Amino acid sequence: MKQLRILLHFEWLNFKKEKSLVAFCLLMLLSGMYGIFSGDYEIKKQRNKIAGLDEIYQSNIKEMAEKFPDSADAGDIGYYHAAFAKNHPDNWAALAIGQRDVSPAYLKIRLLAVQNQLYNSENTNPLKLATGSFDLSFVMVFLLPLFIIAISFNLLSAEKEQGTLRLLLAQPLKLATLFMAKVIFRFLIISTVVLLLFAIALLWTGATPDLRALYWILVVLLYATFWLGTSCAIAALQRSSAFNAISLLGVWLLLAVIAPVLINAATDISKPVQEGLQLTMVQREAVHGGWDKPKAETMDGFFKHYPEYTNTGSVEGAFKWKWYYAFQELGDRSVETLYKAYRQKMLDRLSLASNLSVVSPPAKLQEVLNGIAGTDLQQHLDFIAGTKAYHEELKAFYYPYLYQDRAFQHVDFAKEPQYSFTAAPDYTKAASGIVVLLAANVLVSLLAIFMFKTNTKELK
Amino acid sequence: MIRNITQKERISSIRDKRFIILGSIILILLLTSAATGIINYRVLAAERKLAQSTATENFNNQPDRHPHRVAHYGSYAFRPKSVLSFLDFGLDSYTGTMVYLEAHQQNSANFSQVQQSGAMIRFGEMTIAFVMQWLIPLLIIFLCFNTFTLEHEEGTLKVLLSQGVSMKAIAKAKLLGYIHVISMIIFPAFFFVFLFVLSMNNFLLDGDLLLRTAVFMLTYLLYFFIFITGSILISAVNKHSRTALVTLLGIWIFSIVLMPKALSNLGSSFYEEPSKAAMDASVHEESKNGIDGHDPLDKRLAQFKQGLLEKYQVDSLSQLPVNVDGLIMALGEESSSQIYQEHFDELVAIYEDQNRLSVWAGFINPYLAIRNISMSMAGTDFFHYVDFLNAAEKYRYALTQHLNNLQATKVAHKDKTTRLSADIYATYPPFYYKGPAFTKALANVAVSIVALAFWTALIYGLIILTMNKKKNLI
Repeated sequence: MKQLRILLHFEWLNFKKEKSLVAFCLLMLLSGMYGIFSGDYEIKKQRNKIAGLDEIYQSNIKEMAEKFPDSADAGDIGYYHAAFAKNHPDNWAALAIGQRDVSPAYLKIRLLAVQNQLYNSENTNPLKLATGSFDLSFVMVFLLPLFIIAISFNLLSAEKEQGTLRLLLAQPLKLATLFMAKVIFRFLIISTVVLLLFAIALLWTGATPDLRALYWILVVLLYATFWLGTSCAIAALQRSSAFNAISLLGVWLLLAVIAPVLINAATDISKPVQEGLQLTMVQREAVHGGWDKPKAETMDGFFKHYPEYTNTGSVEGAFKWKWYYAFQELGDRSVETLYKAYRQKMLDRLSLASNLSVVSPPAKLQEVLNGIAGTDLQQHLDFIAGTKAYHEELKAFYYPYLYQDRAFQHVDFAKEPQYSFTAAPDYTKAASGIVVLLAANVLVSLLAIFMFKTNTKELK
Repeated sequence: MIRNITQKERISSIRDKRFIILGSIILILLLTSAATGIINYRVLAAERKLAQSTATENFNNQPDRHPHRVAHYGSYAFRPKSVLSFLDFGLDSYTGTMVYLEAHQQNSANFSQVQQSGAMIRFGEMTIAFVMQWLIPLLIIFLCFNTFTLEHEEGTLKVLLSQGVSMKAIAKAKLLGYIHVISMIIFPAFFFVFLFVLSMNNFLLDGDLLLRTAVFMLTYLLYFFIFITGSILISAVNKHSRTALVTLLGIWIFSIVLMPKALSNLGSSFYEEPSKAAMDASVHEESKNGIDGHDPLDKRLAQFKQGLLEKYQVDSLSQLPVNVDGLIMALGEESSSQIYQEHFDELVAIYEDQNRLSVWAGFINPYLAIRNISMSMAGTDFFHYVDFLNAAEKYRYALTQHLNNLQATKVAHKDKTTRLSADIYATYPPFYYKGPAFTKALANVAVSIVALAFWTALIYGLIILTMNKKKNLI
């Protein structure tokens, strides 16, 4: 034990002397801090956009009062007025922007058929999206392994190349102990950097340190030990520093870049999505076809779903909104199966990618971090489903005016349902990710021990 | 002597297991990415072509309708995949594929690939451009990092110099040697790429396509040259292979992984774009109240109607020889479309401001330069995307005004029920889109091309200069 303490102490002295190591730590810390700032900034931007909606909403209500003085036909309101379904980011979203930058943070919803309102996009800069977010998750997924590799690729080879290894081993000291001391020292440095960045992130973004924090720390540290283990396995081969650097970068490239890229290609090729395009086109035909169908047919179809309005007044003759909204409703219903198929296809793509990503700890980590932050496609699909349900609420609010022939009073806007969504963290994904990373750790430790055992003999 | 050195580098590289293994991996990855790129192209191109023809068919076979009903029924613009997009997906996966074109409003382009994918897509995409931009530079680094340091460590450099060969000559010979070696991977790869391009176009020779492919390949050659020369230079100025390698890998990570992301995020924090809802609200507000708020649409319409009555010397609108409803609709569409276009151009200008940092940084980082050129030649960059959006809006506007014109001339005032025969609509030409010409695409990336040329000259100048200085040092 005392030996270990002495070794750690000397590693520390060594570390302080080695300018490049200190520089790597600083670089990692700086990148992490920029990641925290940049992620937080992106979320602030989204919050600003969401905050700006209130003014648009209020000015629309004012315009309605001007356009329809006294009271209004709810049909006109349903057509000219829009409400907003808002997807509020949790503070945690700043730590992993995930798919939040490609999915809109709000949806503008009118009483009209909802299916072509669910997939509208926000103004986005495609070059920025394609280059990706520089958030803390990027720093952890991509840069943390590089940092670990940078401080441990010459774990033993440096001492060997400087000729100090022989001197050290001439002392009553086992190579395994020396090796362990070096690994433990590096683990301490890495966890200090990770925890420090995490603490800064919590303070800067105001993310609540609840169960998510525990998951975050656990999964990132497991990821770090995986890469430390990989470095050990390569170092145990007792080859040159250059060999170690090339091999480790090769492993990084394979796991953090090539594997996820191939997983994505496999997902795209085996499960292409056409359902979205089909859905909108079929829905348009159904909705606009409403104009050309006999009115009675449309109303009968509508009353099947809303028997309570069966004895509403006649729609024959001049244009009546209640007929218009009836065929909007039927248009939505005609694509219900396509909607489900589209949603299912995206879920299938997600689960296929998730299953394939067990081969790549970086991909797994990204998935877990997005899950914790509530920023993956899964959460956006939840928001879409929530918005669809919100549209049902709006219908429940407006239909009585329409089908019971009641005038809409402008004060009634105060009673209009509102919808705010905040994604819940995906603990199941986090837990399964932890299992995968644990397995990867076991695998790589066994490999490291095996390499160490088979290669130390040569040294002696 | 020089020829001997060149030959030595070539032979020792080919005999090196590293080269054989890495080179084969790169070739396999190139072929894999060509295959995935082509499959991706075929799936998406077919999907969009089918969707576009379905949309046209639906439009042409619609029942007899009132022209304004048709204006609301509208049409679709699907963005066709550019033939060369299989080389470099560029921004294609991040841009919407479908725009719904209807009267009164401009809709967003929806259903981008990235909106229908999980976290994995953000790691990048398997394309030829990815292999050439990310992996071939790494291969070059692995091959060249110890070209001088090893000679230094093994003492062979002194032997060479004692033969009376200058450092400059050795460096030039090595450069030539490695160019030969890398060519053994690049040229077969380019040959296949060229075949693929031809086959994608059914072996029809198309000038635009060939020029794009040529610039694509030529600029990549410069990019590789920069990495080869740079690696040899770093190897020459370092004493140990270890430090040379770590330096080169550091440069690679910094310029390919770190810097592009940092710059693009920085750019978007400097310039903030408005939300789509805010933009639509401003367009609505300005078309209703006039741009300065003092010229409300109602007033303009009243003036317009009064003007018509005076012009035709009639007492009521129903006596006019044309249907005023259609004219009013056309007037409203004209003003709101103009206002929308101004806002859209502003938005594009904001994006360009955001991206400017990454474009000019091509002078610091050749990766950023080649990334731009590559996307542009493949027809998948921002410029090509905006061109499509503008074409879609132009078509939307023309179609809407055509229908307003039909309403003005073929339907009576206040008549909302008369249906015109579907044949009238079927004669309207469907949306057809052809991307910008090669010259426009090239002009758009002029800065990046200059940056790449600058780098080529700079790195060559640097190695010659350094070697001249190093003449007798060792």
